[in-house]
Amino acid sequence: MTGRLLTSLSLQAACLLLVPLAVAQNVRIVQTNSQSEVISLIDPASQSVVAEITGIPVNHGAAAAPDGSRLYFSSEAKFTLDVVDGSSLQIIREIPLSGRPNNITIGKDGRHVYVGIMQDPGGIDVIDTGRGGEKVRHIDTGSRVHNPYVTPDGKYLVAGTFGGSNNLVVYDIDTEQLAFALYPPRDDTDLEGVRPMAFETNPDGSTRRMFVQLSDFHGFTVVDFARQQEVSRILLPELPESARDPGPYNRAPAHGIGVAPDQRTLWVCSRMNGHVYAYSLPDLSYLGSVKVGSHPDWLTFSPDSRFVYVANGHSDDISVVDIQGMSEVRRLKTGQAPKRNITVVLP
Amino acid sequence: MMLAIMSWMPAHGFAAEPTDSGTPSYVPGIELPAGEGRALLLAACTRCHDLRGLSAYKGYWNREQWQSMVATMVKNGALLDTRQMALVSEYLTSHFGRDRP
Repeated sequence: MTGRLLTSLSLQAACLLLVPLAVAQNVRIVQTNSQSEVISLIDPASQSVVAEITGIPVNHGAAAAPDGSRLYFSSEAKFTLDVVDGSSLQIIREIPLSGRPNNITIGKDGRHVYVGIMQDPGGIDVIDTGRGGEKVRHIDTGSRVHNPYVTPDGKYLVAGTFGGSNNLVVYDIDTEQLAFALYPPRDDTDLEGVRPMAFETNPDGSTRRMFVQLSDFHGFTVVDFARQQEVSRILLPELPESARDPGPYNRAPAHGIGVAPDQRTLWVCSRMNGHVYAYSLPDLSYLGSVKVGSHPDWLTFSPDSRFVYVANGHSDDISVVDIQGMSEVRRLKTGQAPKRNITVVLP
Repeated sequence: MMLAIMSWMPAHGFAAEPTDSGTPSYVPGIELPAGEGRALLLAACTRCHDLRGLSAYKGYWNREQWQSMVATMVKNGALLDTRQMALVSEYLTSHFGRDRP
């Protein structure tokens, strides 16, 4: 009993320590809302929406400078990359893009933002964040780019695309030359391609494996980064048909995937089943699932790996999932059609 | 129509409801103004998603951009012939098109 009490007190003390730390660090979950001009900011200390950024219609991708001084959002309505001041949360610049954007990412050093262009002929716009920001280059991927990523070590730019000769392309970030490519299209339809992906690292920070979602595949593939090849495929457990969302899912029954910051778990969204599924790392053992809102689309984590925040695209909310407890602990109302989200530390 | 709307409309906030033919259909979720092309838009697009996202685009896209979007959605499975695509594009341009230089 005493032991339990002490444990309880220790946990409470730990929580008390964690809350001020989170507040002091000004951690925010930045949640885009793809059918509105509003972006929701969630404070993981209170698990509530505490602020909004407005004026970015059909906001799609989100990225943050390493020091949190600038936030970047792509707008599918304006065809721009909007730069937002991390303190005032006001738009300070709108950078014209070469076409309708989808998701974005930022280099580890914060010098460049990479914007996936979904409109033909596609490619990636490279934005120099210095001097306020301007488009300086365009990488011709030969495909429409849905989700670009920078590997956690900052050395490679990776993109999941549609319509390419290969729909997963990996570029050396310094030379912007193609390092390798995978996944030739299985058919010539518009939505055949590579969807979201996540990265697992080696102890030295280099990329060990990529976990990749594909069109029409209710699960994910495992790509050995050094060998530059797929090594396995994992299907998500399915619920009875009566319990499934009737769809359609834009040919992405599983959309949204992430590795927790502590590298101990992999989380995978299922639009079809309205659940997130958890796997242990590195062994990829199935841990279980948590029911969330309708059409979970994307996810991000609290920096301490205690919570995963799941954007539910059809129910206009975000599920806060306790990773250790494997349960949804809060459902927060967001704007219309929440999708991409990121975790940032603001100034 | 719409996957780009896959990126926009892909977020249907309303549940699909089976029609008499068994094909799922989404509640539009928006009051669309009257006009030629409205019925086609409703019939073609709500097979896959609701139309709430349209309001977020209002005032931003020109005719060419709406035509491009309609063409993309037809590639994605929207059942519109060439004449119908033109009608839907015109409807979207008229009621949700660019209202700024």
